[in-house]
Amino acid sequence: MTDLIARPDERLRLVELVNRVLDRGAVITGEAVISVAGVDLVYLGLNVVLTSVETARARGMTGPADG
Amino acid sequence: MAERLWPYLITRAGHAPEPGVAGVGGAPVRGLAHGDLSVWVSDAGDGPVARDLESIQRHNDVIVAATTPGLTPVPLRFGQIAGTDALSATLDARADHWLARLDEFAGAAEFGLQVTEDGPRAQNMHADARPGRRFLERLAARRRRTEFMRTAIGRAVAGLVRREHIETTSDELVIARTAHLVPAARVASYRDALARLAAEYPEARFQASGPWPPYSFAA
Repeated sequence: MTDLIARPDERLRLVELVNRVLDRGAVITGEAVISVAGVDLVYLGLNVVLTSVETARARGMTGPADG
Repeated sequence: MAERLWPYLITRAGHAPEPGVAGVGGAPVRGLAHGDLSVWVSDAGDGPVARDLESIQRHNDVIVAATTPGLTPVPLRFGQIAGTDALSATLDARADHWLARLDEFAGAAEFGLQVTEDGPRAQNMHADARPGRRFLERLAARRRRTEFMRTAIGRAVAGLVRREHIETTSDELVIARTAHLVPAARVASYRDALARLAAEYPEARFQASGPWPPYSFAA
């Protein structure tokens, strides 16, 4: 059976969120912060996801919009 | 100290945040109108750039809060700090581009799709992934599957989406990753089309996400 109609699990949702917010979206300043203290933000984002899933779950974070 | 503003999105001039919209760090969000456009910002403060999950979520939440049935703003990437003059100059320099994006995004949202290998074959993947002919054959087969699936997805959603973005990934279990810009009136049909596609390929796992602000189409 497909799980397409079901909401994605929390981990996938966070990965999708972090990927989009950190790695996409329009860059409008010539000096976009693509790294913080030499650590690539995308890599950083992955760590944020891996270490924050449980925290997010505990706080009952909801999706970006109903879907 | 230079002015440090955190920009979230570009929208049309006249579209201002409701009072009480809070951004990264809880800072109030305001609109900076310039010409036909407005960029929503909050004060970034003097400390290091926020980089925790809550800030990422807040950045997204501001953009979601700004989205109305008739207006989907252009989402900006996380973590850009700039002053008013630099932001105004950016709006000026590419005004036509931003207005075209706003036209294209109106009434639509982004939806993500990830198709991965499922079942026993996926579990054996790592065991087989060693240098050698079998690995190369597997690699070639995976490329064929990816091309095949991308085509199948494109065909399934044709006429239902305004734009398609195909992502590349080095994750060997991922067959295809796409993002689609889908008008609200087509969302149900879009989901049905992907569900039918998923039913055709029970050996693959289809996972959908969205609606999202159109991050993948904003550049």
